[in-house]
Amino acid sequence: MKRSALHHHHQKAGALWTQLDGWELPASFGAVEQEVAQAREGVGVADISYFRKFESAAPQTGSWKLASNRHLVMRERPVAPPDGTLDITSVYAALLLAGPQTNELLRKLTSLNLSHFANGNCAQASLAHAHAILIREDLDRLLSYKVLVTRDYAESVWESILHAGREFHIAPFGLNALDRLRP
Amino acid sequence: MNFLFDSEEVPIQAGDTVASALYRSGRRIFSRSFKYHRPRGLLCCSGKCPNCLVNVDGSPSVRSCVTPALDGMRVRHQNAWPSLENDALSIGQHFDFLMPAGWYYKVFTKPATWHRVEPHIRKAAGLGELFENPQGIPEYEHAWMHAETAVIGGGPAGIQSALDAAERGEQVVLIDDQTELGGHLRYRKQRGADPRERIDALAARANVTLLQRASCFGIYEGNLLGVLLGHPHAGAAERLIHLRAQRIIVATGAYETPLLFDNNDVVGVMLSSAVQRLIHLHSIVPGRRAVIVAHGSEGDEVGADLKQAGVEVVEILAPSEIIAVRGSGEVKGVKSRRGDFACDLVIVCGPRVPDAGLLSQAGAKLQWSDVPGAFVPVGLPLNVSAVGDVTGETPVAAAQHFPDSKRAFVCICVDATSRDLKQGIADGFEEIETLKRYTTATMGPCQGRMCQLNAIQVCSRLTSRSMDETGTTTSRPPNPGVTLGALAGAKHHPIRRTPMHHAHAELGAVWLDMGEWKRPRYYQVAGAGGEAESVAAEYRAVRERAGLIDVGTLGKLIVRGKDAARLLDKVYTSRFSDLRQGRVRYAVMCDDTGVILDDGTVSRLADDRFFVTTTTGNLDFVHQWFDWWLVASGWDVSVTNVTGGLASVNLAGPKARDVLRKLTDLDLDPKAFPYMACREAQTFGVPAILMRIGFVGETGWEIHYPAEHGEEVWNAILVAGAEFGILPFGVEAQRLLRLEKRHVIVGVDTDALTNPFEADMAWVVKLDKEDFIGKAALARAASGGGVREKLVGFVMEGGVPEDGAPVVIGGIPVGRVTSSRYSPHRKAGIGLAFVPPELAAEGAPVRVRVRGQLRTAIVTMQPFYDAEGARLR
Amino acid sequence: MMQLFRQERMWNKRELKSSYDVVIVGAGAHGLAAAYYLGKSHGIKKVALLEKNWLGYGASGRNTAILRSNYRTPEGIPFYDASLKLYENLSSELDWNLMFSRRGHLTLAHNDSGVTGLRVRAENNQVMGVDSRMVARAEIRHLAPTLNVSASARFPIQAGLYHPPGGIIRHDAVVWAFARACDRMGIEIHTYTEVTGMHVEGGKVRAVTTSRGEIACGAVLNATAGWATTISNMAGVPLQIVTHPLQACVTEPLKPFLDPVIVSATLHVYLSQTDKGELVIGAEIDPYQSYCMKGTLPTLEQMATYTLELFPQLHGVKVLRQWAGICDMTPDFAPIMGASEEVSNFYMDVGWGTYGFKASPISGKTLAETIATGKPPKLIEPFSPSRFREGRLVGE
Repeated sequence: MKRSALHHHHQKAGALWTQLDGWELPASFGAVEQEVAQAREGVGVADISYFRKFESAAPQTGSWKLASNRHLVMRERPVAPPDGTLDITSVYAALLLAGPQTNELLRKLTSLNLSHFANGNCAQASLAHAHAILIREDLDRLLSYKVLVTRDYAESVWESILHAGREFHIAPFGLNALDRLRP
Repeated sequence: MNFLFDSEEVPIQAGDTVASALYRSGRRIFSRSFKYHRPRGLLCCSGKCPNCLVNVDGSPSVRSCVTPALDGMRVRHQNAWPSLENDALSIGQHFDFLMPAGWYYKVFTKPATWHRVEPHIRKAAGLGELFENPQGIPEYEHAWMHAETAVIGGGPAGIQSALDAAERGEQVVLIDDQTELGGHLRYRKQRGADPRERIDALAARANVTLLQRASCFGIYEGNLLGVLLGHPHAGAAERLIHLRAQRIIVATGAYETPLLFDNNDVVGVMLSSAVQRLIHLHSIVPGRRAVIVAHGSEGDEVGADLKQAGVEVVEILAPSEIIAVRGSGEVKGVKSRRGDFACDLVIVCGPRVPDAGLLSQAGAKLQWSDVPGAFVPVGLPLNVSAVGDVTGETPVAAAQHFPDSKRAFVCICVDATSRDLKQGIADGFEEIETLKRYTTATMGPCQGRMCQLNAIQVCSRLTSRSMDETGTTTSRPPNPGVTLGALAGAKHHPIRRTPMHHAHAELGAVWLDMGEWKRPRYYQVAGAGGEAESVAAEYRAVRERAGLIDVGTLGKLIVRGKDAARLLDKVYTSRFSDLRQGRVRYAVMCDDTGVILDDGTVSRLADDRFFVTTTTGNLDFVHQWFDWWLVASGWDVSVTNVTGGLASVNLAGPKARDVLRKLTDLDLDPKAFPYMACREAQTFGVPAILMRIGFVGETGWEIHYPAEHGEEVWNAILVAGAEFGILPFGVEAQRLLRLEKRHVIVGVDTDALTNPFEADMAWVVKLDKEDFIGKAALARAASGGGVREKLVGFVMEGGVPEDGAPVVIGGIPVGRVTSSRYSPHRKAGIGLAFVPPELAAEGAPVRVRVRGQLRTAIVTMQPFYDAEGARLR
Repeated sequence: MMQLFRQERMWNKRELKSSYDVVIVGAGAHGLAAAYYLGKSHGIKKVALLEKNWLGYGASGRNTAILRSNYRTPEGIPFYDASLKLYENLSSELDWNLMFSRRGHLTLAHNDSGVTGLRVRAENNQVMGVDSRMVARAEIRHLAPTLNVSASARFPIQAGLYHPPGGIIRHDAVVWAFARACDRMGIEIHTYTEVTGMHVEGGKVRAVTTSRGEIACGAVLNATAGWATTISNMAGVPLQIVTHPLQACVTEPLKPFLDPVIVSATLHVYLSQTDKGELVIGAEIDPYQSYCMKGTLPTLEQMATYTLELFPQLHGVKVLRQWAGICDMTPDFAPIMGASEEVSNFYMDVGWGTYGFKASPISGKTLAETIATGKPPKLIEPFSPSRFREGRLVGE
């Protein structure tokens, strides 16, 4: 069974587990309605480390450019690595932030200029003292980012996000809530 | 609502600052001065002078006149014993003739005397004291903002600039340090129209962000503003905002500074703007009878305010007419050329200095201009502009009076009088910068805000130079001062964890820090002894049975592409183009001076795919190094950092094969899987890279597998090994094991100047290779030049030196021990050391310092354990 | 005591003459010390110090004034120890209280490699007779009761290196005292006099061009820091130096809180408390080359972060001022002292990195001897300019 770097944090937060593509993941933290509401009205954070990630030297369909010879492909469901790419799913932990107060939260963690960060774009910056890849993909009209950090930094970054998010009553949400938030 | 001041309860009214509440309750003495412990009262009421500094909830030197009073606060006085009213050290002012500027330089020239006196001076010095905040250490945070236009100052000029920029469609941030916008119009209504309408217009604009109760403490390179916001939300005490703006408009206005006359520091002498604040912002009647000191009609405005508040204005004197204030504790009256007047308030209409420090930090020059009678900012850099009183557009009080007196205080922070400055100039400190350092004027908590103009005026007059020739001192951030807590922000030092981190914790790991990583130093088993016993048990497990260590902190790279081998040949000192698929080779990289940068292993997984490991903590550098040499090479190579994505372990020991056999179908027979070979295979059902290498000197495998199976496979190995007596082992045991095998650790047994020939690694340098980084330097070193010292092994004839112990010849340290431990195998102390090249011979004796004594060690070039490597193969 | 009532200028303004036996570029602590010993020990008084700004403008006025001799190498240890011994009596010798406060110097290690690094110094110090020893947490707690030695810190303190003879001094006072002593000997100090060029002929500097006129010279000493390469370039002498900013800050004054000087080898921060009660906090050099002498916000934040790691109770204490100086870094963290190989009467006392101020008296003394006798004393032979060519780098 595959476990994300945040497994023990989820356990402590009272996760109700489910299995998806060989991963053990939180379906919810006990109150799906509340998780959805918090994300819709404030800001919520989910662990989406199970998303597949691939690195490619050349651009691919729907890839993001990280460097002149490094492009990132991210797919939610399991697929075989596209030709010539390297499977780096294990290398990065991935988080999903959603909610109208997401930018206020991120502004406490990164110096990235979020007012110039349009939907569908990708940027790299220091976030909570770790190198991060940020991809903005709003969920319908709900502001949302995917944040990738290398797995070894995941717990520290998760803790920093929750700490900075206390001002906004941030709460982690699980797969069930994520399904509800999607268009 | 009330707060505690010392042991007294002080009631709070809405809008009160700590100082206004104290003043209303009748307090007049707020502090004692730094040097003479003279009583001091409110002077500026705007956070610029040192007089109102108190301790709030444990934090020292808080400016009570700008700190909102909160229910339950615990406020304490500073720098007075036994009380503010009666301070024992105030006796010092009677000996001021013995303590002119620079007195301690001239009197205590004998070191022995200074040594005796200094502790007393130290005890008397200082202002603030630290007390513990009963609620614990508060939270601080950082934030980042961006704006097209940042306006600093929410007075009439700032409000207008913000509105104009907003109307142009710009993203505007307006920073104001008061509790509400309006600036000086809040307490000097006569100076302009009611700004309320424009304030409302600002609030209505979506493209304007207002930062209220925020002070800009510095302008840094690249239009970066440092802004300190108090109480951003219930969960944090202060927030430090990094604001990057394309355009900066400074509208910080001008502020009032004191005049010079005898006893100008007595309690009850206040700036006119201070009483205006007390009257208009806090509805406080400041006293009963006031004398106003003002030039021309400058005093009329505050005179009208005082009369309206019910204070009798006894007289208005010109600055040249006042001789001295009477009254030692508090104002009793004034002595003037027109007679004596009894009063309890002396209201000073002082010069209004443009608050241009930020502009100076941004690169503007401060030039004296006679017309306003002030230093005004000129030569503003691109994208920085100034509006309002900060430009010097409003004339300040002209003719001032500059008495030469021991009682006319120029710098109230350090009690420097005009006589002190005169003394300093006579001693030869004629420039404002040297005069400042000699008298320490402008070097106190206010950093020159209250005193710089007067100090420059005095210096200018006494050295017969113009104001411009005299110049100003340099304005430096942060001003106002910022707490260490706010500067540090939320305490979050990242920890890097391997996928098995929590498993180690459960096994009783005692942690060790390697950079940001945490690794188990050893495992504390319940009931067993301390570190020494645990390490010994782990050592025995590896030598006799099997041990398992988490080596996940190693850097790991996948290097792939048609030219991957060419890159490796270029960057490393040995060859990899001839490495066969399924083989592993030790790898060392050097810089172009031949100094060792890093070491690791290279495994060839396929013709165009290599798996590279580096030392812990060096991955980022090595990755950059690879990328650097790839640029413009035109080679087809991709380098990917997979460090965090792989869990990595080393399973080692005579029983390691037996354990591994239970977890994989791979043929582990030595002929099928020889030493220095690598395979990709399922281990416990998980795809893995297995490398047969031997850092610790036993049969063993380094196994790398996807991190999401980290704990799972780790636990499976321990379960499979239980019947053989497997133990997890930590870094300390690993250090001992590898030392017995004489394996060098780069960065421990090498330093920033070591080349492979010095580190006894000549075999790894393939000078017959076409070209690689460092080849030229290494060729020179190979022929003997540039070998300053050599790394050798040694066995002690008794004792065990510590890491870092020196090798001594003739009372001079000529070498040092890099690693040393007691070897259970050799039953003696062993280690590695740098020695002069002539001592690097088998059997040579050297003297090593052990616990202060020189003991003998015998040099050896052989491993201390299993020299033939039979156990490895 | 009677000195209190003396009225006497510390130094006087002079007319620039047309020639001097020795021209010293840079009237900081090093230049002034060299002039002082030239006059006092060798009777050479036809000396001019040329300073482009006010006295103490450069590194001498910006450093954090720490004195110690617990260095690492057999070359450095005796050198800095000689300097410390000179400092011990300098107040008396110069008749000016330099406020040398020997309050002890404590270096902390927070990981294994840090501990080993300290031990190398402790052992080498002891072998060469410098009072310096390793201390464990219990003793550290005793030496600095306010220091956070708990295991709950992010990087807990593992051990320390204690050097009792180390301490702090009033850096400006050192400059002023040397200046006065020089002035009394007739040695001339010319402030606001910038060196703009040099005439080199026949392998020697014949004249120095300044903003106030040209002067002929018997010898020139480059005693600048930050501008060392600029001056040496005028003489055609290359230097193995890169220049980096070094930042520091000062807090508001506190009642006595900290006795020893505290340095953290791992956290790259160090601090001490002045007699006025202020905490002076310093960082490591900025990682980029620059001649900018302004403080930056990231470094200030870093100094604060690491200070609070060591003293979390200081969270409410305010920083009042930050500044920067510039440091000339050599490849081996050791200075360049002696006559240049290219121009025989061009002497150098440069490359002082972050360790120049504590070496002021001994540098002055040894350079004065080098210039006066034509031979460098043995103590500074390891710092010869020729060592780079000869591959004899010092391992400091």
